[in-house]
Amino acid sequence: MTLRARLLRRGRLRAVLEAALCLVLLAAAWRAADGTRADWPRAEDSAESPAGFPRTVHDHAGDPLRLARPPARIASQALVTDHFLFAVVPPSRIAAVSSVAHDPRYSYVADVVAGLDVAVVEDSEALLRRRPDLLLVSHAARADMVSVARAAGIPAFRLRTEFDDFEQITAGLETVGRLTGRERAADRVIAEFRERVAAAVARRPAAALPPRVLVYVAMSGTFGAGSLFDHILTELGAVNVAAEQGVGPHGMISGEQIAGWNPDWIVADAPAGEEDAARRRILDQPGVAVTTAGRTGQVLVLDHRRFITMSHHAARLVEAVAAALYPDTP
Amino acid sequence: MSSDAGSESRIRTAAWIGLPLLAVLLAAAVVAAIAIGSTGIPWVTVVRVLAARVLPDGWIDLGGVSEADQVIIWMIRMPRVVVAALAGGALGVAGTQMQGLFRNPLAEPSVIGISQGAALGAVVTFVSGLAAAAVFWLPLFAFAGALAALATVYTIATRAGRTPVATLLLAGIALGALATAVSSLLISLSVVNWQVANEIVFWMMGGLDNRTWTHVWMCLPPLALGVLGARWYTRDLDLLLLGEETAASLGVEVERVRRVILTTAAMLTGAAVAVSGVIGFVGLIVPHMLRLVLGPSHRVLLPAAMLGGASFLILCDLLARTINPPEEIRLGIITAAFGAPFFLYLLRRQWGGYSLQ
Repeated sequence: MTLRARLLRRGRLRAVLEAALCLVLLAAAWRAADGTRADWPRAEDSAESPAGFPRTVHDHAGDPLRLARPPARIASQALVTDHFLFAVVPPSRIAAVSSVAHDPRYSYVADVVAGLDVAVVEDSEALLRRRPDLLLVSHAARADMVSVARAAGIPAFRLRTEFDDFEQITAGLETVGRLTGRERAADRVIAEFRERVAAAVARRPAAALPPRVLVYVAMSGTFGAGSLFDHILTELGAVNVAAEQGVGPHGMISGEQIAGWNPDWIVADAPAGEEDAARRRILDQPGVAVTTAGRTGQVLVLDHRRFITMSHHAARLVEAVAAALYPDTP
Repeated sequence: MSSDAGSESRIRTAAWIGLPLLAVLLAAAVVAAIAIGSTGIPWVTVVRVLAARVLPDGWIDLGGVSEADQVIIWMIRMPRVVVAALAGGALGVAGTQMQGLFRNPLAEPSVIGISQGAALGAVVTFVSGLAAAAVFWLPLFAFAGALAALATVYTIATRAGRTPVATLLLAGIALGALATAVSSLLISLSVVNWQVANEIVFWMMGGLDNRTWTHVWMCLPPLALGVLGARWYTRDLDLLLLGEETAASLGVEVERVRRVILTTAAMLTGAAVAVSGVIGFVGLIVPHMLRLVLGPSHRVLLPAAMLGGASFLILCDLLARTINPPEEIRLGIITAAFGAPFFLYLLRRQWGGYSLQ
């Protein structure tokens, strides 16, 4: 059928009506497309700026953020940034946190958050009503969220939330300190973190043979070369069995591989309160039972928080592993 | 079908009554969805803010309306509702086309692997980090995945210029399974990286959180092309319901029409999945419910499915974000909660010899 025949079949009146409807919708869309960015008063619009401000800080993506004064209503989208924030700034300056911050299974600040009037970042409307002047976002968060925040006039700053070594953690704290004008508070947290890690590392006897340690997290996962756990084990003078066997930062392993690799220690995770049950389950696995770790019972099970929550709270993980590997030294 | 005069009269009646009613339903759903959210805003304020955006400057006075309300209505709720309408309408139309083309009331866009291909494209952006880099990568890859899936299925199923329906369906099922397996592989490799795994799983359940006007503009072109193409071939779809041989004898170029309809369905499904994630059952139950009321003529059914799909998804999204505040239930769960029982109902009816005509 020719195009002309199709048009005639459809009827001229209907074609005109549909075309008119399309034009009206297009005109409305064109009109509405103007001003799709909000212009809220921001910190940089204020007349006075404290010492050290205005300043420009570059985020993980390299985008610059100019701050005229220290932000007073800060929102945090990820658990790591929640932890950084609560360590560096007073709670009165925190307007919103991630939903996970409220969960004591994963959050080290759940008890503090419970007593605060803060919004949940995932609720966009409640977040907007708080009028935050800074939103800390994970480097891995989808671009949609950053786009919505920036379109609504909220300065969004991408911060690294996955770390390969301790220096990246301290760099994150320094950045939060610089963003919030709380450099000295950040320096104190960094110093404490370094002291705790150094104390844990000092537990290793000078002449000790390096223990071979395998990380074995939920759903048969492990952390190999290039992961933060790999760095922790290296600092503690241990061998990361997964890295030794060629596994990358994140990998899945089987019971057969565990049996073949024969680790001296297995470090696993479990929900708080279920560590003993999880330890028994792991020891019952045939692939684990034949290993040195399985035969000697050297299976360390820690609660989820120590694995999922990195930030400066990784010091707790370092301390727990050091205490298990080197129990005879204080 | 019964006599031409009688059926034509029923089609006109369905068009003049059914379509306006669906348009009113859509308008009511839009207003309700924009007025209702996790923070209360009076509906009068909602109307004022929307009118101020659409009408020339100065026509509407926004005195007394807070900036927060304006931003919430225009930057948060409005794009979300518009995306819901566009995605729902697209899925409704694509589902109608698939059911007409395959002459099977259980057909929907996923039967030839389009949805699974789109999902695989999206998973690639999550795993590679592109989804965090810019807003457009995820929709772009999802859309490309949908079209690539269709091209692959068509290439496999076509021999000597002919594409048997049964072969097409089987190839689609196989490719859909393969795409799902590859997606699962990528997810399993990332599951220990829980941030990425979290994002993938949540996206694959479907949702409209953090939708921006960028998503609206991105899905409009393929959607518009898909709807125009669908409207162009409504008569051919009606004739195909009579069987391919009958349709061919009445002048339908079956192979070409099938190719065009599948392409438009892929564009519509790809555009919808690109901006809303994997949402099932909309393309299955909306055309079916409307066919029961309005009859099988695609002249009425296609626009009705567009309006009905849009309304359905807007209302499902409203339910998803208000049923357990401040947390949101994933949209795919809500549509499945409605769709699965209806799907079972369809199965029982089909056992009773139900047909699309």
